[in-house]
Amino acid sequence: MKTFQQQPDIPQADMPLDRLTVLDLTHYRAGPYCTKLFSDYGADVVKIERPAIGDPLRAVGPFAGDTPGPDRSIPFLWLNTGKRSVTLNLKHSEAIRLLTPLIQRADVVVENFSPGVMARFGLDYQTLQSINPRITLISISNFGQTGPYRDYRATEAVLYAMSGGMIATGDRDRPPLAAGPSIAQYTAGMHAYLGALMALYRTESTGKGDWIDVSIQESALDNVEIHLAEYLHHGKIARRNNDEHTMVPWQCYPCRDGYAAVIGGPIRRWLTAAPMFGVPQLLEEQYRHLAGRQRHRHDFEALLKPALEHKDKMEIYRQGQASGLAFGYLATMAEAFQSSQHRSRHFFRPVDAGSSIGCPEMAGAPFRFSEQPAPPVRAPRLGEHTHAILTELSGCTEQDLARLRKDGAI
Amino acid sequence: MTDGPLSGVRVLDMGHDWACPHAARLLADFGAEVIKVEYLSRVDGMRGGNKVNAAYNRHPRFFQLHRNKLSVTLDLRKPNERDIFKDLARISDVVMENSRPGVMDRLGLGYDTLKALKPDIILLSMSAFGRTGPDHAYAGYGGTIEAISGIQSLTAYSRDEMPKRIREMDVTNGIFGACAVLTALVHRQHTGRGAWIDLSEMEAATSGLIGEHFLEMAINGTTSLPIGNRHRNAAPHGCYRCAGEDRWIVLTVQSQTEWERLCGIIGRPDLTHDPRFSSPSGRMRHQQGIDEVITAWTSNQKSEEAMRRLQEAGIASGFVADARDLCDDPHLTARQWIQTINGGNAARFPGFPFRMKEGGGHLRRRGPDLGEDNNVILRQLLDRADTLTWTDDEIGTAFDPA
Repeated sequence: MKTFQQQPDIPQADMPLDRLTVLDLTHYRAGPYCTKLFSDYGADVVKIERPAIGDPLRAVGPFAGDTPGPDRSIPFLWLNTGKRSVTLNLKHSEAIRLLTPLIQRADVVVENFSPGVMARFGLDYQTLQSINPRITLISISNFGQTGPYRDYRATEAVLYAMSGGMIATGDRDRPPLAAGPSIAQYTAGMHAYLGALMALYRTESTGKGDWIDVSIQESALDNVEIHLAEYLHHGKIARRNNDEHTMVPWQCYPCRDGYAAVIGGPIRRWLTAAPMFGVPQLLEEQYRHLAGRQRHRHDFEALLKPALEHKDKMEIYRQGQASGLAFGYLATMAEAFQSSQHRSRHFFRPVDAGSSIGCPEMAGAPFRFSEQPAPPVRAPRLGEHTHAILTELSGCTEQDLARLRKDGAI
Repeated sequence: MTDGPLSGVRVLDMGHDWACPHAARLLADFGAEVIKVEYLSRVDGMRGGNKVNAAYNRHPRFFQLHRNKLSVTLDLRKPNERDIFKDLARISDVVMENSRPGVMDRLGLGYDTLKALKPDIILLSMSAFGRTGPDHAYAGYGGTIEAISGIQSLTAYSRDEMPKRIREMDVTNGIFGACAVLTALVHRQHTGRGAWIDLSEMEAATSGLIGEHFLEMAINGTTSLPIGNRHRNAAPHGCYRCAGEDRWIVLTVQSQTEWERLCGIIGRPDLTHDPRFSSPSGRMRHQQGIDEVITAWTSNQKSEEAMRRLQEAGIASGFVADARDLCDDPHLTARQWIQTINGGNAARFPGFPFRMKEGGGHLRRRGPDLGEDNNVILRQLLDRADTLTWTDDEIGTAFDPA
């Protein structure tokens, strides 16, 4: 289902970070998401990729049309919009010389190699500082730059497990469930962006850069901050509970065509809204207050569920919202993609991804500085900007480039 | 003034519940002076529904979400208290709120008013669905956003079962709220201009967590999730029961070498010669059988010990940690992640999401009592002579009347 849509009439967008340059040494998800955010808000992001192979995410599916290829990895196409790609072998003896003009120009360097790898490349924080004292280095890693798990290997599920999310996901009588989305890695990318901007903000007054250590584990612990705070204060340990929320009702229930999100808040509105279900018993004394609904959860649900079974989820959603409650519906991806709210705000916008892929719609940036921000620009092909950047910035001649290419340096 | 990168930045936090307070908490942790503006007639939901013995001052979740902040009580419908707010806005850098679109305007405190008070003000408006569009006036909590955005549809034990929730979306949206403010602060440094930011929580969570899955939908017309505890292209990958009550380990085998090492660790070196398991696709096909063999080993192992042995062999693995595990974890302890107020011996709190070499997060106080800083703010900050006082009867909770 390719969707082509007329480009809406867009006023010139405000790009708040258009004075920044980011040197991007990242791969896979956590690092590239940080630099994607910089790109979303207007920074010039120069991504350094390994010659011939590139970001290993280029080899990770799903692929466009299920056909693998370095420019066809869908996660790569998403995570690298608006960036420029330069191929450079960081192990090559001339790598630092070629990178130096970029380091001098850059405000931020972002990397997510295993701890210690940057030092082996000769790109440790001290070296970067000696080239550009204002530079800030963001280092993202699974478990941080220090500590006994520093060199542990991880996948998204391992990170979700070790950051307190997984123990509380799924059903009581079944194993903990891994998250579908890569929530731990994406959360780290967001925090890395936040930390980088904080450092930049301070650099303006101190003239000095910073080194930021983002542990994906620690970053993802923010997602369970209330579980942790309640354990630390009350000793209570949160576990998975079939999505039974402490508030009642506050979860998805089956309805005629799927699931309706029956979120009974703001709680103060419950009593005036509850008649919408047409079940007089729901208004009886024992269910009038939250404490009663919590105490009699199962009896309450036994009354509520039949009232939903013969209705469509959109009908329940609209009815709940019309009564002042924050109802929703469990959207499939196809339904969410076509939702009238997203369409009305032009949240998904067509991006020319090249002749072999076409013009798929991509989600917009997470927050807006103007009503209609500039549309995303497709991810770069491997090494697409090597020639331009190395000639303009690093002063390479055609002969230099030919030699470096032959040498496997670029 | 406090240390931290945001030292000198003043923020008015008009948020309630979780997402906006989380955003403001991140700013407060890293040195901003954050003033939580509270409304007596309907105190923050995180203060609970109970007024007995000032129970609204004793919720750990409130201590956490409003730590490092000051509390002032202002009824913005009263002209004199609205004037106090305006005095605060004149000396602030940022105002952040997560009321439904239109509420700030109805209070006479919309962006244009704020901008007139402070020309380079940054206003962050967070709402469930954004400032425009057919659903803009609708309400939404984490459970609404997770379901309606499509995020929830991607996590389930199997494709035919009801999808499960992964998290309240408030933290994701709170982090983005803080990102939005910092983007605007850096922009203001470059240009001298303020901004009004429209953060739709449905859009932010979508963009931040499942943009790649929507691109799969746009290009291939399908989605490859949910797949339970499986991996798209590595096997074995799963969650395995360990010795003890609700103890589990997650592991992923990503190469032939790792597979052979795993077989050695679980005491089944014979399986390395089994042709069914000699390729990733073979292991994908026969994963159920492999799971049984792995479980036969893990079910007699302590989860942390199993993790250590697998990691020593270079296999990605981790135990499924609960809150107690995390608060006592040797790694997090070695990194001194858990915080106490000013490093003292009082209550412990979750640490910071990142560390800054030049000085980053610092925990100075727990979430304040209701109106705890009324006097400091009126006298010291605004140099005003009036007072803000109340009786217990004036306090209303966000819950139903008890």
